[in-house]
Amino acid sequence: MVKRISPLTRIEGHLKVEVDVENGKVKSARVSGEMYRGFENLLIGRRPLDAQRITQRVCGVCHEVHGIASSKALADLYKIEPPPNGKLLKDIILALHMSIDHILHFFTLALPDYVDFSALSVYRGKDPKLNRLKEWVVSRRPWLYTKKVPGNYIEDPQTAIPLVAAYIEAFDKLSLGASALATLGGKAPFAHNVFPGGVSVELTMDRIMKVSNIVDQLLYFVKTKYIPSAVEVAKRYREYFYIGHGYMNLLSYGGFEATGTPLYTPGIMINGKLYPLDVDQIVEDVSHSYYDGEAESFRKEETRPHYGKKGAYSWIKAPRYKGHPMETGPISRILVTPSTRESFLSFLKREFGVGIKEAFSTNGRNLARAFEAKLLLEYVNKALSKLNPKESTIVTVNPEANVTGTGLGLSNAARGELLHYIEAENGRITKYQMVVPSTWNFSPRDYKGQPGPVEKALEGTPVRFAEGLIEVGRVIRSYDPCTACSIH
Amino acid sequence: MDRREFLKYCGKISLLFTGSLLFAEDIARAFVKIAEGAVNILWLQGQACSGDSVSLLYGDSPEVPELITSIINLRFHPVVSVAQGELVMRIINQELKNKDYILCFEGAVPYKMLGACKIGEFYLTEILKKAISSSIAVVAVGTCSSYGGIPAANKETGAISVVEFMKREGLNKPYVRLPGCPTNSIRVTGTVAYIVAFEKLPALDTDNRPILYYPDVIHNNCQRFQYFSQDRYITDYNQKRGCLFKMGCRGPITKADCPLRRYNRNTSWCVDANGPCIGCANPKFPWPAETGIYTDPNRIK
Repeated sequence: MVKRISPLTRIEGHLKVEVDVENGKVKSARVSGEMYRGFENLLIGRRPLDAQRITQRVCGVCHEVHGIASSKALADLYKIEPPPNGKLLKDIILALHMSIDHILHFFTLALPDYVDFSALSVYRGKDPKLNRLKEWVVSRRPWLYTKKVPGNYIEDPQTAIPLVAAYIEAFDKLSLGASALATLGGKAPFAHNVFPGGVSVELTMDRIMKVSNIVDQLLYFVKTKYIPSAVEVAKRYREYFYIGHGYMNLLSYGGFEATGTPLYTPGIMINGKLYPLDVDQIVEDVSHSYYDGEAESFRKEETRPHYGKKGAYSWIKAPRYKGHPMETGPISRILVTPSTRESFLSFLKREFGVGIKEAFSTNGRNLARAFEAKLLLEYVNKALSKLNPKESTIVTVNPEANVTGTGLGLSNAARGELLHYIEAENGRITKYQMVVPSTWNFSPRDYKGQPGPVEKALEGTPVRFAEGLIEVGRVIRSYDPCTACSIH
Repeated sequence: MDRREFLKYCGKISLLFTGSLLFAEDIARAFVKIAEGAVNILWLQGQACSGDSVSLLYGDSPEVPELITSIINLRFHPVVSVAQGELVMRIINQELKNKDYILCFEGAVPYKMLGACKIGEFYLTEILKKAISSSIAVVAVGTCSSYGGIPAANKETGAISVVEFMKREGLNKPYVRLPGCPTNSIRVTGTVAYIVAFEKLPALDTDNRPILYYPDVIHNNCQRFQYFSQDRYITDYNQKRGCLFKMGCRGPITKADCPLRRYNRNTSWCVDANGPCIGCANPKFPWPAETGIYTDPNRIK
């Protein structure tokens, strides 16, 4: 029997999932992206420097990642290298953004799948924010939090209330983290002072201290609330170490290198085995996507939209690496990099007694995200200490320069690894292609009929609550879907 | 909360949204109305990036918990609501029947390629038409929704603003434009609180933007205006003090309150962080392909 979640909420954008349920389990799944804007095509004919301001607006949830990736592709096109401060600032902005994006994902987007907010009705404590929320939930029964699909939620107040309290506190931390981003970038979402050659902000001790102070507060929240909450949820829902397994194929571009000791190393994992990364093995297949054309490398492909194409069911393309569907996200960076793999796996062993196989799971992905939030904030602290206010922050590019050539930017996003590719002739863009994390994860089937990573991970998911499909929602959200990004 | 505390709280909000304590009583009345469930908010997205929603989630004045519990009765929001799937469609349909909501719309509307945006099993345009018809008023949140923005720069989908959509479909509803990419969250909360409190739209300019938030071109309130007067221009980003006009700053032709209200806990704004204004709140954003966003400082005299 085919059931669907349409629309899926608490994600970015317009996503639909259809599952074929047999004997109480998902037999097969189809994920459809349902919104197209055509960023790659609208960039053609524009000046290269516009790409950075325009592509950063691919997504307002992953709001700094495309700007940074584009700036790297443009630096390659203009053949310039940012000064050390410029590289550090880009890393800081990216890492800071990704860590608050992780907080946003776990609390705002994912946690309502696990916790019943009405448990708040028996709260007896004194926290004014919690009391206001309690009063509100009890007296008004707000649709926002009470209209939920049936499921096995955490209802006992002892566990639920601290989680709801952390949910509330997370809003404060998001707002606080955004103010750190604004300190360096002017505003969040979308900093307008990040350029190919660096960041144009005036680097003052004042700014550095302000950001450092906020990073400490965020780190404290991650250590005392985020990681413990993620652990608590995973302990309550142990079965989710065995739900949402997917392919054991991972993609990492490496990254966060400006301090001199890279946080992540590039690499590929296929069926659990590690290989070196070769980006020229990447193609984007469109056989089940609303585009005309063949599977091509980003260096060759064109985006030719064709809504309603026969056999197609999604606006998302299907990137493949040597023909393999690949998963990307915090889990891929962490498991491909030797040092973080070791520390993450020992954390899983210690807390849950599980190993690498169970890391490929709904719980594994959510825990890797929490783990990465800590790694990123620690990295920001290191990077802040290396900034030198006396030195230059940027190499300025002439926006009307008559540039001809190509540029490749490999970068990171909260949801995985991000690639921007640009071609320009006489100062005008002739091609722009993005291969985006959620495009990898949420891709439809390819010409061989291989399901995309999330489609694969959904296979075997138990469906005890057919009305509303809570379990399916949990598996999908463990990938932190971003539809705006995936289609762009 | 006793009555005194309550009024003090209303005064704080009045000050926040209108710049004056005078409206505390009106705000108090608005709360009573909200408590009675008189006015709701339905938030829908078209060809959007959720940037305006995230701006709201990052909001500090007030923060989200305060906002949703005390200021607006958010019936549905795609990023916050706990519901999913069919249940969402039931909530939306219930609201369409109740006809008691202000519609906040984020993103552009694909008017030619209808399949470029769907909600549930429907084209966005089908749902949007009903959602506008049954609303009390429409708030176009962000530049895409106000003017078409980046999606409209691509001609494939025929993307237009929600305001243009209303015009083409002959839908007459009071509306407000809140451009900005994304728009400052205070503009959204302030506008909605105002509509609820006073049962009318705030004072608008000829383009239906609230005068409170779009009082003048950015340039005229810019902290670096003095540099402009003295002809001290930045021509390389390693210069940190000077007017950014020659780099392509769009402050002189873009109306918004960025230099006055700033962003993210009043921390900063683009020019303060030495980035030229790109005119993200301008009706012409992202600017014609030929001219682009930035300029060669050596060319500008």
